[in-house]
Amino acid sequence: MEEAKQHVLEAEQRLAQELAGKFNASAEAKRRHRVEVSVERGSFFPLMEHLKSTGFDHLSCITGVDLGESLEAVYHLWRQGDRVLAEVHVELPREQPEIESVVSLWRAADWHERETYDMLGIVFRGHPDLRRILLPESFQGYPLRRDFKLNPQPWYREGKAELWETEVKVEEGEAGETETMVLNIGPQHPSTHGVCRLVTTLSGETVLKVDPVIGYLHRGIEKICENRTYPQIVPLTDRLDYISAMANNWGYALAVEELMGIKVPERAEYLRVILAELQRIANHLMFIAAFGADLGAWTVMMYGFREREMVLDLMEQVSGQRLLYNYITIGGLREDVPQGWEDNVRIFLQELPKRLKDYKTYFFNNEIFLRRCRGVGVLEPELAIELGVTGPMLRASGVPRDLRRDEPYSVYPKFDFEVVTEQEGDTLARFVIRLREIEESLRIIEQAIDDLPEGEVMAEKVPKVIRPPKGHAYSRVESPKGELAFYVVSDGSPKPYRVRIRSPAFCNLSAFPHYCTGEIIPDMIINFASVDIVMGEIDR
Amino acid sequence: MEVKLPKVILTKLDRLVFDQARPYTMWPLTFGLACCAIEMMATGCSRYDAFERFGMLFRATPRQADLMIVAGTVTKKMAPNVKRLYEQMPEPKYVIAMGECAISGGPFYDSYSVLNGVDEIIPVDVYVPGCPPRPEMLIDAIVKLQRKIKEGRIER
Amino acid sequence: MSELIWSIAKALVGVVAVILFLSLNVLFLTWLERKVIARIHVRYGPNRAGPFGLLQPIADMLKLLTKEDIVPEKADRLVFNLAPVMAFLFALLPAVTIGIGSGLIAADLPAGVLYIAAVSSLSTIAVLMAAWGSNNKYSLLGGMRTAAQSLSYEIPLVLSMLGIVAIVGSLSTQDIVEAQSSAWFGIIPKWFIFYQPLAFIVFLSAVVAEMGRIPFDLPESESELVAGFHTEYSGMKFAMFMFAEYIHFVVGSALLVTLFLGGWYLPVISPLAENLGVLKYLVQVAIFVAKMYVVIFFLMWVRGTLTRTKVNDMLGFGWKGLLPLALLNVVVTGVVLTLR
Repeated sequence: MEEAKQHVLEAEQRLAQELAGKFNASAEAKRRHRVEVSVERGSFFPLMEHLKSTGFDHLSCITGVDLGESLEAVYHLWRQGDRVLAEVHVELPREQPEIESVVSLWRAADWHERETYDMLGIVFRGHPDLRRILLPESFQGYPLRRDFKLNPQPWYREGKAELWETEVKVEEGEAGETETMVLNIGPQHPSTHGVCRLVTTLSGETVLKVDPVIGYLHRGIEKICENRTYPQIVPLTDRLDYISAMANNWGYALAVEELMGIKVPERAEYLRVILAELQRIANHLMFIAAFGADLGAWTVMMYGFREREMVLDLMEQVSGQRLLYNYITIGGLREDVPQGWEDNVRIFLQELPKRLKDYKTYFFNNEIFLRRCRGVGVLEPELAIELGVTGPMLRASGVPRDLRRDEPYSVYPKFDFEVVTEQEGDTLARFVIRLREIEESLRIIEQAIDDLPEGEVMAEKVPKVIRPPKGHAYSRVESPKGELAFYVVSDGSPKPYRVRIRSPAFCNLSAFPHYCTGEIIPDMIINFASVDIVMGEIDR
Repeated sequence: MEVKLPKVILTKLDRLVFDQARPYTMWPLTFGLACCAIEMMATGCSRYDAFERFGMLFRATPRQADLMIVAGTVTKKMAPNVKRLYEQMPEPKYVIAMGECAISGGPFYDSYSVLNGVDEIIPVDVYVPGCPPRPEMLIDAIVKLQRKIKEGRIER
Repeated sequence: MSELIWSIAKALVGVVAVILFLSLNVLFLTWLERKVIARIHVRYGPNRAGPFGLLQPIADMLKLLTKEDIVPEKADRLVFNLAPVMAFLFALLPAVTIGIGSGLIAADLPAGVLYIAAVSSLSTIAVLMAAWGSNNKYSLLGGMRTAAQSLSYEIPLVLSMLGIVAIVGSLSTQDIVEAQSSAWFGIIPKWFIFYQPLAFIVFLSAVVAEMGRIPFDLPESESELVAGFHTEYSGMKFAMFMFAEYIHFVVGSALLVTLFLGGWYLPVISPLAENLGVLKYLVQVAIFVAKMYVVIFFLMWVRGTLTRTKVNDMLGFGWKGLLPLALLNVVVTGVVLTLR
């Protein structure tokens, strides 16, 4: 264990020295898994090319920060080989915030750059299609700049309500061309995925191009975070991925705890793990229910929700809320679990495997289901990594990456679990992998519940008013949908300077148009269902 | 051939017979926007079964729906669609605003892109507070709406 | 002259009886379906409107009566308004030659089965009228897919009836049931399900597709991504489409019972009831309705269990799976009958 630690820190320092030497940048090995690099705009692109060629194949996030006199673009890149995350900072002048686009290196940058342009006005030269993604095209201004003020008197409704009409630019074919048709699916549609609009170009039954139009649930959470104190943001993070709220809380709490240097007590860590794994089970059950509903098997939806209610009962006993808990907070947990909760969890651990057998019988003996899902929507592993896909979707294509093992946080190293992968990468694989992940989570919970230590659940010395020192932190957790990351910038005041949320569903959805062309519409719908998106997280 | 009944008789018929039948067969439009949609689905599922017991069938098209449960945050980008869907529903129609976001903007009240309540664009009959409201609260709202219809207190 | 009046009166009585019987069954079915599906889903169905929710269909009807009737602006008015009426009418047409008792039939056509086969494909016209008249390209797409499904499964449906016709030697539905009205050893009934098992399977699959139920519910699944053909209809017109769908359900099940499950004949009870005079008709009707409801319950069970098929799977199953089987059945039946 010590050698592993030593080895990894060495890797960071070597990387820092290498980058500082070659590219006239200042680089520093912050801690395990983190190397921070600040580079000039001129040598930015060569640095990125170098990073790409030395194995940094996963672009985690692109953030824009308004520093007052200048704007800053922050890139997070991950190298799986020696588990190093490189954080590249580039400062841009305010009058001309332009920088080269890295879409040619990592295709995952496509939507991230569009969002940064949308929110901050940073122009990425060389981007194939730089237009607004969350706000409508006609919107004036850039919300995340510091001079854009939030609504000061929201309760004073003056005049008519503002309605933003969305125009979707559709490439017109030649006059008289009858081959292609543009079909608009959503934003209101009967499946349970939320307000996402898919503008599909069809030729007969085959899908030529899909363009997801998002932003129908854009609530401006990142901007609102700048107006709330650190503890007040915890309930706001619940509303991101509202199906698995505990994971969001945890990701945010990790970031702030890193900024403040708080060490969370052991009991809280174990409980966090148990709650997160329970949340993963709830999320995957919801996925199964929604998947069944999309297929027309309403029975599966009912059964999925019934099992999910069992988990929600446990959550309600702990936090008082069924869906949005506000429970994992900065420094630990809000309060200790009630007496007898551990017994309830044990009963749940006995019950669920029996019910899972029902699901397996239902699905895997059903010829129609297998025919619909097998071989549909195959996502190649290299394409998946390049598009920034993470989580079960990536593992279903055979790539064994899991943040709980690669960049372990909390007490995950103490548990024995397997990183589940499937090889085919089709819709059936994405379905099966989630069933298997439920079983892995059950194993983890069992180990954690057996070893649960006594003690406090809240760190001592957490001040009433949380004022982290100046700095920034990037924390990543393995949420049920993939890699969820929070980039928090603090300026020493009780409210954060900038909060950036890297949501897994956003990146998974950006990959969706690239592998579903050439299929027929029902297949595309099933593909869409297997991506497991939740709009609260995508639109924020 | 049009039979013109005096308005008094028509209204009485409407109140006596039809308004007593309508509460038992309100058909909601599948219209979940955000987190409250998950609670709405949970209310419709096996444990609470609020919708089927009251005879409410979810319909996908607004032409066949008569209840719109606005569940979740209404953003300014989504607002024209909400308005259009409401206008496409045939009379008589009812609206339940579920959750804080639909009532007044909720936790996102000061955002630049959130409508402060769905009643800025469509008339609402019942408000259900909560973030998200428990399924029992949604059932209570449905019962309140039923009572409102039976007693003829719907304002048009 | 009086002959003419007498036959017109008989016809009218028959038609009214058919409509009444179907309407009662359909109203009951809307309630039954929701209850059965709910129980499969481990929950209660409607239980507020009246005891056990039995007044639910009536509430539905009352509400649909007073809904605002919306006709889209650019819709083809004549076609749009006529489509639900046509759907209802065409759904009723096959029912006149299906008898629920010996002689309890609206029109005992000597070419009964042929008539049913001919008329049951007319409902596709109503679907296409609705799809076209809505002036909605999605409705049109959905309607065309529904029409494709109906057409594909017509052929296996009709072919599977051929074997029975060959065995009985007559196209009249009364004769078909009479031919099944005996039993081996007095207990095992000589129903055609035992004589023509392959035809039974083909007919069952085809009739499920004709009804538009899961696993072949393309008309309804289309509302997931494209609209179904009845998207633009509200109020009473939509009620007519719903009615037509349930009438298809009842008529399809009745046809299945008539052709394969012996109609109103039950081995031990029917011979006993022969001596009861008028009551014998009641017994026959009771047996027929009971069998019909067994089939209906089975189909509802299937709906609660299976998932939807994909468009190309469904068409492939119809053309490449059922059609060859139906043809095989006809050939085998022909050979066996010739050898007898």
